[in-house]
Amino acid sequence: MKRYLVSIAVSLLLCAGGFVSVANAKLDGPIRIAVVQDLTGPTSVIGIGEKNAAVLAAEQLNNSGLLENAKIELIVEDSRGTKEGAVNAFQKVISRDKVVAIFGPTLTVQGFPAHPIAQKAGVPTVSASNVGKGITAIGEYIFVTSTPEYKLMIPNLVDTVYPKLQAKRVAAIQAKDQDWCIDAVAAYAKAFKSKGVELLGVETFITGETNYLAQLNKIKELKPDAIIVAALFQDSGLIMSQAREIGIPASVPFLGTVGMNNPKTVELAGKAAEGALFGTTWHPSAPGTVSQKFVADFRAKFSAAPDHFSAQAYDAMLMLGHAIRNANTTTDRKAIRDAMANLKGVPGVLGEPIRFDGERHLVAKPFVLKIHNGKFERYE
Amino acid sequence: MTISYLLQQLVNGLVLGSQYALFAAGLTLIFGVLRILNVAHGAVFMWGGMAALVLVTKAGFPLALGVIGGGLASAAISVFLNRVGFLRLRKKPTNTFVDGLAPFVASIGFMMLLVNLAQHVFGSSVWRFPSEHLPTGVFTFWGLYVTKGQLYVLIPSILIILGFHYFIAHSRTGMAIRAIAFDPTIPRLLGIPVEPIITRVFLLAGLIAGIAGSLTGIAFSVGPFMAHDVLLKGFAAIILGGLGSLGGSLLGGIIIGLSEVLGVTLISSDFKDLTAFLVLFLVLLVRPQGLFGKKEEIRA
Repeated sequence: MKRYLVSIAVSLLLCAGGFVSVANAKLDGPIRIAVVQDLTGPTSVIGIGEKNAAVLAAEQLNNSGLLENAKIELIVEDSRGTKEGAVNAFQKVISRDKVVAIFGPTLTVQGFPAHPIAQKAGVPTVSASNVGKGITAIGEYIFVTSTPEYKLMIPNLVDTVYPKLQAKRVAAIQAKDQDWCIDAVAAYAKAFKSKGVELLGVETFITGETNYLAQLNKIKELKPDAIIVAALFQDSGLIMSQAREIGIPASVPFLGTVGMNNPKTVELAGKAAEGALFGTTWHPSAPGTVSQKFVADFRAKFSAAPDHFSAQAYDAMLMLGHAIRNANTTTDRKAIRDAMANLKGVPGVLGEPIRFDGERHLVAKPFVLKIHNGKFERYE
Repeated sequence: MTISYLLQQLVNGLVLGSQYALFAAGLTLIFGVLRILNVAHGAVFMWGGMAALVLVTKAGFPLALGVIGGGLASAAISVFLNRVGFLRLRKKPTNTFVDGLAPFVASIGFMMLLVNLAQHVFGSSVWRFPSEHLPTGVFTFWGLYVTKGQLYVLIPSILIILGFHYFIAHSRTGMAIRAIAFDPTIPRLLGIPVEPIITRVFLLAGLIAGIAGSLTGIAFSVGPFMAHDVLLKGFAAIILGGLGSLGGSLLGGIIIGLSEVLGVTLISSDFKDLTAFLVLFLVLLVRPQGLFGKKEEIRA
């Protein structure tokens, strides 16, 4: 009895310190978490990386002892890059698999129809690549570990690069089927407007087109000082390559989005990517110990370098694990949601510690990356 | 708007259009002979590009041989689809409704199968031919920029379509194909072997699709989903040109390509696809059978 009381006292003390360990009722049994990601389709390059990071995180959480006797069981569903795929997967994992939380979906456009299902059912969801405006406003059960680019990275990028760039006129090309790309260009326009820079025009395309020559020739005719490219990495790479081919000079830099933050961008664009700038909150060279260990573990397990979506995916799972620990339940979705909102002091890949802000976006520090000699370098 | 800018966009439209035309040629051939809208033709096109990429990057083939290899790979796939799929459906007892629909639905299935297979083998990313193999650089004249990649699509496309046209019009096989397209029962009654000719139709259509896929890959990129756009525009091109008409598919492809680019140039890039399909709509209002299509009468 005395020992029991002592253990309660110790655990209360630890709880008060914001850290985890409730020793009275040991966590036990399966923790069913759904992974809803694009495993096929054009965006599976993002989705597979996120799924892999989630598998790695679940494995490490299970072995860490944080969850005591309980084990995370991942239920993996393919959202196939479509809205319907994400909606169907959400319905299935909530009603049939009775998961306690969902990690996903991959895209913002999928998040808008899928998250309301989870919100209505009271299932906490964390997404690692829903970057569009208004995603977390769907409800208090929706969390994202991707920082809103339009709010954070793009204004920071414009502030950082404007003194050197000295652009007077810019033009943009955006994927019109991606909400976050539209938000990104709007954010660029707003940030540049405050500096007196004129946005000459916005050309559009649909993700997966491979020939952008008509749009790029139109931009070339406008003679901008810089070109905003808001697209996923495949389109970003091809756009930059074709722009240089048709004679848009290297003195006109590309200003990108998180969509460029993938080695494949450089592979597709080659030399045309040189000098391109974009904002991010993470890069494999980030100095944190959790981040370094994540890069090493990910490489060892999947023989590929993680991209920032994978990093955000890892943190999403980490946050879920710690929330389950703090809530001290493997089944109570509401308690897990509340614990997620109140998490503090979790050492993550994107920062040590990481936490969610009042709008349930992960708090992270933005910085600018520049493509130099085919590599991503920090731009100061 | 400067003249050279407008000319530049016309060149871009012409290249895009020739790409659609080359793709549509095979589509219209199969339709003309068998009355099948072969949706899997897009996947055959894609596999040609993929095969060419593998041949050039892994087997070290020169680019031109890679393109031919891509064509042959697609020809083989196309013939295979006929053998395992369409042929069996043709042998089923006749039912007018199913006759029309079953091959179409089967071709959707083949498309999904081939695209998923490609995704499984290559992943779902897009690739470019490595730059050391690529004809990089541009020709500049009168202020126009024509990339070598664009010329690699334009010139072979036009040559192949013309050669193809000549072949269908003048060779024995071409004549047999036209005879079967007109009515498959009469050649059969006359003792002309119909099935070997149909095999050649699939072979030819596949060959051209594979070459088109390889050329598109060289000019832009390859990936399991590369046929998505060209498939839709290819259908538009053959409908615009008149179903089953080879010359029609050429003209249809070029018109769709040009109207797309002019939509971007004169209105907005939001209107790119809209302009193309608006032109299709307007043409069909005036000529429901398409530009070169013949009016069909069914007499009981």
